[in-house]
Amino acid sequence: MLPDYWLLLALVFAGGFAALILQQARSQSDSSQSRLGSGLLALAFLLGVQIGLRFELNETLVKLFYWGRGMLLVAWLGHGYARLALPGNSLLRKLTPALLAVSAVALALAMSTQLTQAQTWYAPAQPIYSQLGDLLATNRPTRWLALALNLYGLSAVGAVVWLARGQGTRNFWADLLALLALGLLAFAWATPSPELPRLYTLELVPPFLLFAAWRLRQQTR
Amino acid sequence: MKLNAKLLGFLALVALAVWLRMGQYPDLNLSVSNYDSDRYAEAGELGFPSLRFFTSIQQPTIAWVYQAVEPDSGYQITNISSPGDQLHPPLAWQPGFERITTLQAMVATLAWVALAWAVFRSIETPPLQYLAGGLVVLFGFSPQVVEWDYVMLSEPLAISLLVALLAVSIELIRSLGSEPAAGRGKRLALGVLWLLVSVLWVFARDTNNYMLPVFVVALVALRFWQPNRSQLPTPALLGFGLALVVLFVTASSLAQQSGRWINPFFNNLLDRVLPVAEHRAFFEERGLPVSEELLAEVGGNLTELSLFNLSDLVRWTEQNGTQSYMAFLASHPQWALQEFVEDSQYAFTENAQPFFRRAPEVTPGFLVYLGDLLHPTDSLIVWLVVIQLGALLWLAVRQGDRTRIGLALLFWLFFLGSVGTLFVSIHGDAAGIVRHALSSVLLFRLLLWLLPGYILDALAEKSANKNA
Repeated sequence: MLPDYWLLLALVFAGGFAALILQQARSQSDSSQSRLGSGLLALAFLLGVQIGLRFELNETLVKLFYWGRGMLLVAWLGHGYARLALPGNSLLRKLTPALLAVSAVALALAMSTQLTQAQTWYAPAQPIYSQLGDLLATNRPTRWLALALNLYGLSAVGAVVWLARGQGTRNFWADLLALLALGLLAFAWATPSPELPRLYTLELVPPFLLFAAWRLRQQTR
Repeated sequence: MKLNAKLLGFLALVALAVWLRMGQYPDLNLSVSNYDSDRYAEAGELGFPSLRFFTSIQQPTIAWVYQAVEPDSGYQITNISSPGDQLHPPLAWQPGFERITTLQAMVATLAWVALAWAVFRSIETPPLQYLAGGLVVLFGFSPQVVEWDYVMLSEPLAISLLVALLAVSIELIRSLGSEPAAGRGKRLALGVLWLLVSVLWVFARDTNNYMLPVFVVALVALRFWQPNRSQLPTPALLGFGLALVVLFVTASSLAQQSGRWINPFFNNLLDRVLPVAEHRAFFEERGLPVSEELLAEVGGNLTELSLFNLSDLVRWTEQNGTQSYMAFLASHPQWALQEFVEDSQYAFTENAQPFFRRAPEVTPGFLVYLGDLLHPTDSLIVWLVVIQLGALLWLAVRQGDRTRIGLALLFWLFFLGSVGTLFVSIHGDAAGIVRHALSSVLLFRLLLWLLPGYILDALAEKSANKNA
């Protein structure tokens, strides 16, 4: 049996780290930290949805979960982290409404996507990612947009790593940890094989990495 | 104002607990018995307090409770369950036992709410208080725990008393490390309450007694490393330690005289000694009477109950059984460890009571699923707990926070004590390992969800310190 409790453990830590970051952001009135904290809170919420979906598959919830976890999470976390690392960057500021617009389009696409017959062979003992991958396999625009958004999130943090390479070792390591966290989140989503029983370990690691990245960034402020 | 908001938040958690307990589980009039239940139903025949009471086949705490709430008409066993025989009937009304179910449910509710309160109070960061307290409530009121209330055995009260002991321990450590210092009266009251719960818990299951040496060692260590002598004076520490030693020796001696251990010993003999020539030879050297007829029956219809008919064997066991088995474990450390590791994994394979069929129309499926997440059937969690315990102690020592160091060490003590009791459970009886190891395994599972709140709290304070 798959270790489902890893998902709950990941939820507990993601929610806890989000609470710590948001508390700090509130005490410092820092909106860039709030964005990262909200991203972690969204991750915790999505882990909760995933737990619910593993108990019972609901068509609308599957589509919303695909939209939130498969399309938006990495993109917004990457965008949020980039804004934390590069607070005054005007390009990132301008990209925010664009990302909002694309997110709305993504919602429309995900909700209008027809679920394929994969639903009939849904087996609770398998990771939900592979199920969803096949579930939406026939809908190319949705999948392509999901890939593009994930790539955006990774690219945004990748660019931060590149730009921060001369800003000191701590910042560089912080950005690298954030990139690794997003890479794992994207990988966990994209991995289609149901043969990876320990796939959920990938869900547990990113909250720690993102929190560590935030802490390292805090120390250089 | 702040305190009121905090109190209201905790009351919301209590409301969740009450709603879960009262609304999602079967009626408290219902119950199920096992072949061992009749010994508790007959507890009224023993006089309390008397030597006979403490050396009878019944666990003293459980017998005392059954005796205390026994109705005039007595207990009537009408619903027998025997998982070994694939007999898992639905719950049914058994005259008299509704009092036990109600009492077990009340003690369990009090214990879990007390633990949630102790955890809530000992964590300083507000959102994390709700996270940690909420996890305790969900864990304690999941079907995997609550359903034991309907089973007429020693497990339900033993679990609740362990939870209560942990709750009082957390509160005691908090009062010892708090600034400003907690009043003498409060510390004394908590100390007395701790001892009282310990006595009840130790006498609820013989295995529990083996956690006491870990506490005694911790007290000895505290004698040489007292963080604050005014808070914990040496005479109080010595008195506490002496009380624990006396409790350990008394409970061990009474258990030995009771003969409660003979049945499990015969299980060991049948499963681990007689079938293996080398093991058998070790015991034969110490006088174990093994006849050809007995050996011919091993692996066949021979049961531990039939061994009671062999008077020579019973006599030898009463005189030499315990010492011989201890000597056997000491002289076969590799085997003992291997058996412990293998059976430990087995002890994790179930997380629900096997005595009655769950009624899906009463207990929602999602609650069972959530309970399965909170009570993993994966022995890997032991290592996850070790990692978390290590992280908590490291953070606490780095910060030099007395209360947090105390709490980290307390959780280590309970963890190590549980490893000890798991070892005793496994080597004490070759049969019913999952049920006998229940308390230890439950504590590992509980620590898995209890520790994140404390670790996150330590990280919160670190970031606050940095910014101060």
